[in-house]
Amino acid sequence: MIQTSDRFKEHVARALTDTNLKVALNRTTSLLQTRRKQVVEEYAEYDEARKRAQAIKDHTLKHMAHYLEMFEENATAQGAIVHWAKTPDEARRIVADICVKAEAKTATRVKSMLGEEIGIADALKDAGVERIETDLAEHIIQLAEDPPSHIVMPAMHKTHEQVATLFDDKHGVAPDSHDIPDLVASARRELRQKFLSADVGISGANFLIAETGAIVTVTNEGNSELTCTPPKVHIVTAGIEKIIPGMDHASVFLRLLARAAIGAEITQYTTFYNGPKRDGDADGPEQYHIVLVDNHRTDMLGSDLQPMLRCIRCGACMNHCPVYAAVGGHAYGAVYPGPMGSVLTPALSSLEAAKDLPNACTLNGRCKEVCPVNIPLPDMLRNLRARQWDAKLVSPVAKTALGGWGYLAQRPKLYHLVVGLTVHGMRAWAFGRNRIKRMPFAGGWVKHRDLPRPEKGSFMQQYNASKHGIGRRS
Amino acid sequence: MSDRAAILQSVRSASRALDTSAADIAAEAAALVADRTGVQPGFDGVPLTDRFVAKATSERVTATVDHVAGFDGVPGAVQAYLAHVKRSGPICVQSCAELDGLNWTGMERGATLQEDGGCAVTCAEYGIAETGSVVFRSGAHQPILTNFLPLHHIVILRTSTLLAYPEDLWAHLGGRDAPQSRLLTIVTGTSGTADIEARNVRGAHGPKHMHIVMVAD
Repeated sequence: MIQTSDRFKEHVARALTDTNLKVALNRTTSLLQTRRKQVVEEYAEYDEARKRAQAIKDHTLKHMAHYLEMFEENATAQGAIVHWAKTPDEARRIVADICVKAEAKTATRVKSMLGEEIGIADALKDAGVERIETDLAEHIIQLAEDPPSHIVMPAMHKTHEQVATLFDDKHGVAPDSHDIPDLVASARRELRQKFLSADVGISGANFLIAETGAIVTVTNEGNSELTCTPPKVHIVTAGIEKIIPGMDHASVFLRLLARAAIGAEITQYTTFYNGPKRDGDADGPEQYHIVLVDNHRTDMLGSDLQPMLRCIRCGACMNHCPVYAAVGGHAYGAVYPGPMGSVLTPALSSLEAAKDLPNACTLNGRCKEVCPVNIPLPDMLRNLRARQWDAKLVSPVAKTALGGWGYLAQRPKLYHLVVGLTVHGMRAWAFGRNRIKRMPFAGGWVKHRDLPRPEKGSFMQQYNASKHGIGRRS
Repeated sequence: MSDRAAILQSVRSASRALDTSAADIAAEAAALVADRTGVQPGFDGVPLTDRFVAKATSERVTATVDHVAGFDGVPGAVQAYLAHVKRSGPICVQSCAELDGLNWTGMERGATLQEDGGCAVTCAEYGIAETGSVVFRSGAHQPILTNFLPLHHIVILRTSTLLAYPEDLWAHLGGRDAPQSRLLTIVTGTSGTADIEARNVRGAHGPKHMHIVMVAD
């Protein structure tokens, strides 16, 4: 997809007036939060597992060259052909070449964000290959010609009513009804023969296991196995940060991934691929390629962005982000939306091309709290803001406002006076109602929501009047 | 410079631990997972079979479970399931030593699963009690697609193959030096999706129903 993060504000303005989007996001994010909370609470060992996962990732990143070479050696011994790509261009060229050599006409694909990142759709187009997305959400957005809006549920922006209209229009046989189970059944009917007749199957990898050379996919639909077994060629594209040492380490992550991503103890299908079809095997591909992609990951290594390489792409940070819940994934204008995307997009492109993203954050800290590998997302977003300041990318209005705030903050008496007066003024402006619908100097803020009427007095005035207050202490 | 060399060089130049020996790295990696119980969901005292059945039949996994005393009881259990779900017609039974010798009278074996809506019977190699999962590997007599194409998936599982945790599975498979089959899959219930409005729906591409016949051995 073409990155349009530089038009974030424009996207947001459109998203906030999109009533379908509001319905779709409301129906999903709260459900995902509830499910995750329940399953994490049931897992008494969660805190220890989270610490362990962070330590394993940090260990692997510290010895990354060692593990990548180990992975390559073991995967090759299992019959894989391992390719390396420094850039998305190179990765696309490798994929297109494999398809051309295999004389492929069609390719089924299992959703992978790395595939989106490198533009795998374009690689297939270049090779003259028809692309068949098999993940239900990817199937929906392929038909709608939309980019993904979430890393686990790429069609999160669509209501079931919108999906129904789409399937009525595009499926060979229209869905039996517009109920969700019938929509799922319709996609099943549409895709089944395509799975069995594809020439190439393309997957990503949730993990690369150094000690065995296996790649792991995790799905609920079972589309990975159906994509990667019938065709004569299986191509895996994976970011180099997916590497972990061994099978026991994989168990630690698998428990966390399913809980964080979908609020389940395990996904329905956890599959380890070890190479092409063995002699005498009843089924499986004859050729098996793994494309290891860098795309700026090695730039992040050793920098303050290194913790981002721990990310296992669960999507919990966006499910718990109030900004994401209000504007949806498309507003970010990049492959990776939400908090993790706001850190990753500047790293994969440039600070300037994504300058609004680190600011689209209230620093409430929920993203870090729910992150299964404890990535300090709020700290990293704050650092990116500081870098923007240093690179002189901050707008004149923001600069003036910060200057004004800085002036006040260094003069506490004046600060308290101004805050006290503002609170007083806002209470008066509310005219006895609990909500403020229009506010001078904050027109943008109240355009799509109301301001609550402030409590009586500033925080400090209330604090001092309380039993903890300085004036009350004995 | 090749992309491989460029990537590895960038990784090395960012690393602060280049002088660590392979043995030391392996020891560090092993230490990180030495204490398994610290991260495994505990179910102390609950027998493996009970835990497995509770998980497999839970609302989140949605399988059904039947028990038979030996392999001889398998065809009867399959027939009972088919009657229960009101299905007739040919079924696809995996061709393997355990199932080939049984008496399948009254049922027609040999269906292909190309068309949707079929019913398959396959043998799982292991069961995992932690999550109520079953394990399949590809092989000459284990076509992987048989587990993914039917609408009704009947899984035959020997109770002696029940393991507590996935970590136990790796040990049973012979560790890193043993030959690995092309594919190993841990299946937990049926094909599902939550891609439309996060509503859980079963039967996305693969099986919609899973019935596990546990064979006491």
